[in-house]
Amino acid sequence: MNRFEFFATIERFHKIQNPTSEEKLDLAASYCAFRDGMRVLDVGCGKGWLARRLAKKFDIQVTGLEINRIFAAEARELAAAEGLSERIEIWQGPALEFHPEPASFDVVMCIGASFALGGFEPALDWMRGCAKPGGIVAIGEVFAMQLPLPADVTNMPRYSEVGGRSLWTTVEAMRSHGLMLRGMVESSRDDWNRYHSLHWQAALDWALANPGQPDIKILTDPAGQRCDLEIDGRCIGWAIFVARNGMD
Amino acid sequence: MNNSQINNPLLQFKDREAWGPGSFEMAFSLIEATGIKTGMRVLEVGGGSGQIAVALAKHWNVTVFTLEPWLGGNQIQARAAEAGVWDRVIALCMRAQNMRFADETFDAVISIGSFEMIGEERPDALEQMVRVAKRGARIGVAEPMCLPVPIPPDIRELDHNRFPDGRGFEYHFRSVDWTAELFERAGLAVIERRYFPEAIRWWHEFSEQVSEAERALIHADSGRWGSLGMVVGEKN
Repeated sequence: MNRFEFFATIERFHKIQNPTSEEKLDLAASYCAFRDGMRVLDVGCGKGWLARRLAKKFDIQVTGLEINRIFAAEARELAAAEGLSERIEIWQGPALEFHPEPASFDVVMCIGASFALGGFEPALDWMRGCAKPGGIVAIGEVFAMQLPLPADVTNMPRYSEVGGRSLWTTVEAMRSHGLMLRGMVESSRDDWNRYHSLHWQAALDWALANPGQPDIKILTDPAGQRCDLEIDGRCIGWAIFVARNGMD
Repeated sequence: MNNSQINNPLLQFKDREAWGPGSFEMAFSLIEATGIKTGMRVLEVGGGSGQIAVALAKHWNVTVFTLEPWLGGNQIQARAAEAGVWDRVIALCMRAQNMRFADETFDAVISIGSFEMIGEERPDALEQMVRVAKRGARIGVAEPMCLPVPIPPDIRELDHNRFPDGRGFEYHFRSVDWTAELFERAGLAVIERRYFPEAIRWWHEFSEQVSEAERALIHADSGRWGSLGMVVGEKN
């Protein structure tokens, strides 16, 4: 099971592939101030739930970038099923190989996929570069809720991007990159629990359906579940930060 | 330790990680020369290990934005959290030449052992450092600098052997006067320019932690050409 198949397996029940909710994504979208006629870029769009949600409400053109061919195919199918193929284009491949025109999008989103752009700060620069001046950059990102984080947390690849970045220093880093916060939506423990519950259900179902498969160990790794229970939503938070691109 | 270093809290670190010669010693002089005081917002160009930024936040009670374009800010941010100054150190993966801070954001701008590494883009970086400094703020660099004499041929050879791409000490190091002129061209009033008399000793101490080839170069030179200097200017 490669990395793409792993995520396709454990996120097969997810409509929303982040620790958040429909209501919170709608709230974040309201902070983005979408209007008809806008061009929108969604980096790491997954199955495209947010792209479809927005394209149904507004006459906008959404380009979704997704490296996972399984998710990209599903995103295209779901957009077609809802008659949104004209408004949603799914580009499958590594996000950094997508070369948008500078300052060409009204809203640039990357909701929980900054790793696709080389990490949090490189993502800010990349997104800022293709957002119009005065446009919107929205990033869903982890941050440290308690500092210092336990040493074993900072050493885990899963949390390598957090370092010692708190909510405040996350916002200060964004401001340093010319991105002025205008809205934020934070995940609750219920959001995390819902997000991980779907992971656990998918992993268990797969394990029961595939007895004897060596990948069962990876999917049902108790160390991973312990992080889900004790770290996420407790030491590590997640929020969608909506910012204006510059003050010009 | 001379008198000027007696009260230097930067020398109290148990596990100092200096990324260059005399970093912690020069830092103390630079912090004093740039007038850094409690409550200020300070920009550090070149964060390195992050220990100076953390010490500034902890002992001088300032907020430090530190730019570390090579390794990024995660390790520095984690170090700041461990030291209890998680909210007063903002470590960024950013080059000085590409800073996007608003104009007149900082009360002081410092660079320790890093400005020379910017190479030919130093004028662009300094322009940005001046732009983001408040009026009246001081901007200072303390770093390896060369004396105003030609590089000795044997040192040039050792340097070129170490850096076949030509980007070694000779490419990067400039004199105090050269740096001061750069500051003046950027519109700063130079208020302090000097070499550190302890430079040879600090270079030799640093040589204990570098490669054999670099150590050979440092010892062969022993202050004939390579030194350590500081230039501080004020934005009017």
